[in-house]
Amino acid sequence: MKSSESVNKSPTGNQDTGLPLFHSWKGVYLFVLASFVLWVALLILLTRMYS
Amino acid sequence: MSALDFVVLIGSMLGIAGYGIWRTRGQRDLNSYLKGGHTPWFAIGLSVMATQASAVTFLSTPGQGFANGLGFVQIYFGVPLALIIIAVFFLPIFRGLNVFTAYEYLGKRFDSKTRLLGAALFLTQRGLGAGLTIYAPAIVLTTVFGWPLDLTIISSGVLVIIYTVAGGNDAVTVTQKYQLGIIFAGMLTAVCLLLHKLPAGLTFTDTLAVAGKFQKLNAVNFSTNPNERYTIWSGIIGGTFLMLSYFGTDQSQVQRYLSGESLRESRLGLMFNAVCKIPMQFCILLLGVLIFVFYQFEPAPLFFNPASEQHIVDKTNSDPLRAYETGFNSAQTQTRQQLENWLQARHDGNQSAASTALAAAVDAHQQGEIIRATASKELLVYNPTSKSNDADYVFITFILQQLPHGVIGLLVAAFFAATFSSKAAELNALGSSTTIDFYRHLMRRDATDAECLTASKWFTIFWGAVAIGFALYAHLAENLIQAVNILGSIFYGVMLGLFVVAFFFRFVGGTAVFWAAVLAQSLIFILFAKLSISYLWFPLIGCAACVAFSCLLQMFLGNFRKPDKLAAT
Repeated sequence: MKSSESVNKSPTGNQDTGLPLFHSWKGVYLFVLASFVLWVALLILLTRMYS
Repeated sequence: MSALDFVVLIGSMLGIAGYGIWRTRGQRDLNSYLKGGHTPWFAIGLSVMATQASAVTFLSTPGQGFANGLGFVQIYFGVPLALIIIAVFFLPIFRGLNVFTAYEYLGKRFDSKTRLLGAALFLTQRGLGAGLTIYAPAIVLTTVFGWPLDLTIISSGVLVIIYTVAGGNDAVTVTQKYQLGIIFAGMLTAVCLLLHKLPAGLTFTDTLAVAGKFQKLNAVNFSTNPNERYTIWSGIIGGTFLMLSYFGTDQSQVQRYLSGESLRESRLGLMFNAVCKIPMQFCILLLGVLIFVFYQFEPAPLFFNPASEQHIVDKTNSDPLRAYETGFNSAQTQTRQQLENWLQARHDGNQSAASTALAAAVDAHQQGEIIRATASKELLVYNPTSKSNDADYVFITFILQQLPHGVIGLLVAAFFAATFSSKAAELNALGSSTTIDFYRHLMRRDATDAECLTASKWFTIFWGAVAIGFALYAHLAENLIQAVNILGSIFYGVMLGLFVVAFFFRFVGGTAVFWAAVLAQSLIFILFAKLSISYLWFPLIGCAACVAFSCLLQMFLGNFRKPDKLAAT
């Protein structure tokens, strides 16, 4: 456990995430932000279509 | 409820509780009781989700969607950004110091009094907030069985206390994923049956068209008026600070993700929530909107709260409340007829007739809403203890009146699962913080782990009793899901400010930040009483005030030397 902690000390984290598609933490965070933008865009679209 | 419902309810609840006890058997040291074991990321993600998603979420949020539409979803716009910030900055520090509570870090970074202040702010707001989450299942029990509300609050509160004290943090974590499974199964079944029960010929697009015309699909509001409660700006900016405070400084959440096996597991658990939170809340709100459309085609009660409805039934025909019910039923009938005309014209391709009929339906509906609002005020004159806003009763009324037996049991089980998962996590965190930050830090510095374990259980019982006491007054709340967030907004900003100063303003010491926090919290109390701005702005104001006051006070007090032991963190 300790080795895992020290490996991941970098705040932005360029270490491997263990995920098949996203190998760096930056990639994971970008994916989260992209999904957020997509959801907001879809909600705006829903609002515009039905109001 | 039928015998089948009781079998489903009792079977699922006992099954989960039994599994929790079996999985955590023999784990009775302080570390596993307070922090839990080596939890994988998926379980952490579900645990974080289950802790936030109490019975209030599943009972009151559809009511919010029914009454006000999808706009409430904007409060969750801050979640993704907040969770990324926590994963990048907060998590490595908490894990690196191997703390039981987030407030231990404040003690290491600043001093004892600042740690106690942070813990006290958490205990105050979370202790009161726990009262609101205990109130939700009491609504279910009162509606299902007709038992007195006070009795159901006390009995369900005692059940949760026993469950939490018996299991500890590990039991909370290992059972939460199964509780969430029951919750999602119940909600999904409700959505499918609701869609099936909509009138024949009303397609999903038609349903959205009706909801849109009645202003229920306004999910995003670009207004810059600070007095408007839910806008995209208050959601993204204010919501980020609210969620940053909640997920980053509230021990009930910190305790969940610190139980991860490694930093990676904790981070992935948070990112899982960052992706899933908005769609999940959207779906729950949409369920409320669909129930709204359903009740435009089916007779709805004047009041969904059965106590209020019974009050009208008990009165004679000369009572003004009876007249309100007659007028409301008439408006409903007109709405229904006009909607049926609209549906026919729409399917015939007659756009002009469709528009006319839909406009007439909206007018008739508004008449009905005016009657309902007036009757609600009138009811308070006859019965001052009645709950004026009965949106919290909408979903449970729909379940009991419209869904088949077996499904009713499943959904009541879902509410109890949500209560147990979130309430147990809250009580466990309250007990942990009181034990670690007050008992072992102030009262018994030489206490053994066994003594702390016993003390933690007693403190859990104490906070459970406080929550029950507060729940007895929760009926005064406007709407439960909003009340929980309003309460958090008052305290969270300053709590977040303490951590922001700790992380990013290394020149500020304990004395400056302590008095700055006291000043900032006083300012928030005054602003909350005086201003009518959206409550989502208070966490931002509280945090900014705490940071600004800290810097100013430190400049006044002179240079602060950072403790050597934290120099490397």
